Amino acid sequence: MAEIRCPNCGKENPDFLDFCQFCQTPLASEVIHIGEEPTKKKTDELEQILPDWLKEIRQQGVEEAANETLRPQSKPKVTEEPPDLLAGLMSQADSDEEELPDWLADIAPAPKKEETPPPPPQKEEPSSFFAQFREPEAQPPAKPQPPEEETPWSGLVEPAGGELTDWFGQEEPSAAPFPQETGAPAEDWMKDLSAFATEPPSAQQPEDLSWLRDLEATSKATEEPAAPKPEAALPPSASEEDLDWLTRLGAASAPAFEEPASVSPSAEEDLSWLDKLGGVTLPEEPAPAQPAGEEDLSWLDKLGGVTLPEEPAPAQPAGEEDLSWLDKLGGVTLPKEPAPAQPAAEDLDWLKGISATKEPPTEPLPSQPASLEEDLDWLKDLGITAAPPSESAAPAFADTGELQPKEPPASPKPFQTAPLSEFLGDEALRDTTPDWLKEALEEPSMPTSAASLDWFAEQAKPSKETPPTPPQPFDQTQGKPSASTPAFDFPAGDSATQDLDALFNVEMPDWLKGEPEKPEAPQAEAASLPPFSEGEESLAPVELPSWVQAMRPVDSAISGTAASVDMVTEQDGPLAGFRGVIPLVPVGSSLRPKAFSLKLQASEEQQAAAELLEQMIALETAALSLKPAAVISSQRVLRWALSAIFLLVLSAVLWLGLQTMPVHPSSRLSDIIASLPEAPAVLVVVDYEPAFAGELEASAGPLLDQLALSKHSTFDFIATSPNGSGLVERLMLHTNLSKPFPAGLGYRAGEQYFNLGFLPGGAAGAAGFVGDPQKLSRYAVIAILTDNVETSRTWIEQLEAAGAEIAAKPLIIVSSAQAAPVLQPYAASGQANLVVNGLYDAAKYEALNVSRPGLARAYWDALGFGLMMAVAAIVIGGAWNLYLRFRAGRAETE
Amino acid sequence: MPLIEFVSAIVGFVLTLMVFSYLIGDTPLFRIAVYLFIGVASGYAAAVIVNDVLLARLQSLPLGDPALLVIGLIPFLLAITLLAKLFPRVAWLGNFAMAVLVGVGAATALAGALTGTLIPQAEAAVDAVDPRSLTGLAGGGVMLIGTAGTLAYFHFGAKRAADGTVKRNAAVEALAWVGRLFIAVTLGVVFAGVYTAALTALIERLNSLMLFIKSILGL
Repeated sequence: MAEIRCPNCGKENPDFLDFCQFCQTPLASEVIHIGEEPTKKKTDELEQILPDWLKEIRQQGVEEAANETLRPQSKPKVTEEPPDLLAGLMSQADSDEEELPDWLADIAPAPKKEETPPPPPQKEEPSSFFAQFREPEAQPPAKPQPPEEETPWSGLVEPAGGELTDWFGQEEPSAAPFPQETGAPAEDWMKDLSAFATEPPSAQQPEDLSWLRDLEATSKATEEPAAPKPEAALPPSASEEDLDWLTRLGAASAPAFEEPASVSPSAEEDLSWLDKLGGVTLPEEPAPAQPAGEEDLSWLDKLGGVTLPEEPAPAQPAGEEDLSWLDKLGGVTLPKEPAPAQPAAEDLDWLKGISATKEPPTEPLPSQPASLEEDLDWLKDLGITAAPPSESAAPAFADTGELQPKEPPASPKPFQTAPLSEFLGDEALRDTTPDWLKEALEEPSMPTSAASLDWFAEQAKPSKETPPTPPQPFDQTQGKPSASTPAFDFPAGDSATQDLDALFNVEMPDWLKGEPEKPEAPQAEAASLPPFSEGEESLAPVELPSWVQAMRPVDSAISGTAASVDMVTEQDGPLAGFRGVIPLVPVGSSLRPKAFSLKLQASEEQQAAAELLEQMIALETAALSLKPAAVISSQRVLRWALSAIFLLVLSAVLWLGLQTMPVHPSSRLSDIIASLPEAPAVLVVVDYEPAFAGELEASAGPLLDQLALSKHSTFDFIATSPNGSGLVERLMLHTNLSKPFPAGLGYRAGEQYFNLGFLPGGAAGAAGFVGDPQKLSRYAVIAILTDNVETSRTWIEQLEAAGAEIAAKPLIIVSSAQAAPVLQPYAASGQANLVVNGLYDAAKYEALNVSRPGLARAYWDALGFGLMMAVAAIVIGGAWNLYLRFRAGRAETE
Repeated sequence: MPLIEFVSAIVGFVLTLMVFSYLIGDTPLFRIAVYLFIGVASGYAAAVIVNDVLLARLQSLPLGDPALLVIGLIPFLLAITLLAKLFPRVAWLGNFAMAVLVGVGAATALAGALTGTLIPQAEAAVDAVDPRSLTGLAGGGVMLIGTAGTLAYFHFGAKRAADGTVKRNAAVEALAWVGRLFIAVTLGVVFAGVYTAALTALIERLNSLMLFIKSILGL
């Protein structure tokens, strides 16, 4: 549709408007200014394309104009109209501005109208459209028709003729099947609705709505042929009959023109509400005192979604017409009149939801007369709490269960909800149709399938259990119907369902298009929840079902994130319509432990330390090479070398019989022997082992030889070792005593010497041997040949213990060189007279004994060389060791 | 040279070389010589003991004098009980004889050491100091210091110092240090005596070899 931008306010307006619907500024450039002569336009050619119903309307308007001539006060100004398409309507619209049409007067201020004086004569007659409502007013009241005859406006022949009424049908589709309960209750709600009127009707210019009047007049004209007896068909009572079309308005599809109705001449009434129906918000003006004849129709403004400041509504007595269906449209439960079981009640529920949104958002209703307070109770509850289901509430079909699948409608009355769609193809009509009305001709945007309506069937039961929820009203702040507006529940395939589908196929006007663009099949749970609206307090948590509350994310789980995340409105599911109830982040994600990277964050220094540790571990596991042990062959060689040297030297000395080593003779032994008596018995204790036989033989040789040679001593040999007795013979042989004479002394065993054998018992045996003083007393000298310090000391001690006499006898100890140092103290102490210290002393004594037997001297040089070599080896070895140590120290220092 | 002496000389020569083989190492020759010497010595000792002790004692029993015979048989009975030590069940029978041996031997050694070594050596140490001559005084003084030092070295009494270490008295420590010197000299002398004894034994063996060789060679 082409639009024209207003040069004054800059807003878009339909191209068919001459004046801006916002600021009333002329839109066309051809606006006639003051002083200009209007150019007459010829629209005769358009007469041919006029539809029949327009022609009829025009004809009717002409007739009415002719009739009005008889009534000069209400004479229409038809002559001034241009011969255009809406010429007839214009003449009707200009009929009467101040006088309200009957149908409007009966809505609320009808009683008031009675009180008020008759309209002034200067008021124009209402348009023919409204005249059809008014005419029956003059006629006697007719009996109310049975519902079967009144309600079915579905038999409309010309749906297009009721554009305006059809629009109402779109607004209140559920009211279509409403029964003809016309009467006082119905008027009451109209009075209540008038309380919403805020815009003074007088402030509107009748010219602005002339096209509407023309439309109404045209529609009326087109309906007349359908009504064979328009006059007779009018209801007898104006208060009742005038509202029949409104009753059919509730049916949403029933144009009021089908039924002959008296056209109210009050065409001059303020019809600005119709402008507001188109979504036009008029500037607020101080409302003058509303005349009685001018009904406050601002409630219809509310229907248009326009929120206007309210003004105190004048007291409006209850009308006589049965407008109870309109009461139910407001959701008010009328206990006095239980609604009959009929499908019309279903539609009222829809209206109930619509009317619930009509409550002003902020300003409370002004004080109203007491007569209206009762009827306005339902309005008070609007948007706050849901009206409790009542049996008498006809629209509450869900509560009554009348529309349950088990109980199909008793008398299904198909009604057509969107007849205007047929005119979609009529371009001429579309051009002349206002924008907000054109949308009604378009295809419905809200699919209503049977499946979506099933939700209402389920809604019936939960609604009784759950606390009453506020009706699905329009968003009070935006004046748009809620997305969760409950629908109807019809069994699939039912004829009533199909009718309802057709009902919802009607395209909503702009102000009703606040519904969601995706009217999905509401779920039972979603329907029980109030619609989401920001700033609306109806979303109290307590109103949520328990299961929904249980599904809410825990605060602790979404703490810190719920506040920050965007609020997302759920589009489907049981939480459809809720916003922000499900966090964008996964629930419980904050409770889960934070994921940490397994990659080690180590610095270079730490990595270097780790490498060093790895190297240390690798070194620990690696096998170390063992150093080869030092070769000891040198010691073996040295030992062999030393041994060889010693053997060679000693052998050489012995082989050669060298006697180069000096010997210092000693006379101590000779002195002792010299002091002995002649041929003394000598006790010789043989206390040495065979290994020391060579040394002791050489050591004892000079003593035995000197005793035998000088003193001719006899020898008693006693051995303290078992081998000692065998060594006695060897001793006598090697000392040349037993050798025959001249090589030896020729001592023989048993004569010059006696081998007493082995003396067992050690110290005890020695003590026992010494203890016999008779045996020991005959010995002049006691000689102990020993290589053992202990045995020799035992003999010394036992001899000392044997008594002074025994101790006084000379004791000569011939000792090996290894035992001599220990036995030397006994000689020093006087306990032993002489200690012959091995070969060294033997050589000295042998030297004084004319070198006899000669063993000592023979061994002396060898012993001398051997000692010197030993000393040399020690010195050389010590020097070598010092050299090695010095070299090691030098190597360490280097 | 009589044959027995020649054979004895040859056996002695061979055994001597076998013992000298120890210069190379622990050779079987050395072991054979050692085992031979030990065996012969043990056999000879056993024979001597049987012959010189047992048989000689038995032969000397006064068969005509019962008292002396009983007294003479007591050693034999104790000796027989010592044989019971070879059998665990009747080993206890040899305890008395063993106790007599140990007791009598300890008492004999103790009495002989006390009267024959301790007292005479103490008197000799005191007499060694001769104040009448400088030599005697010096000799006696050295001997006294040596003796005192050696005794102090084997004195193990000490006290714990402040720092926790155990130290002997300073005077005792000094005497012990001196005594350690005398002990070292004494052990040196003993080692020299051992070496001299061993060297003398070697010389005697080498001389016997030379004599054997000379006898063989007729030199």
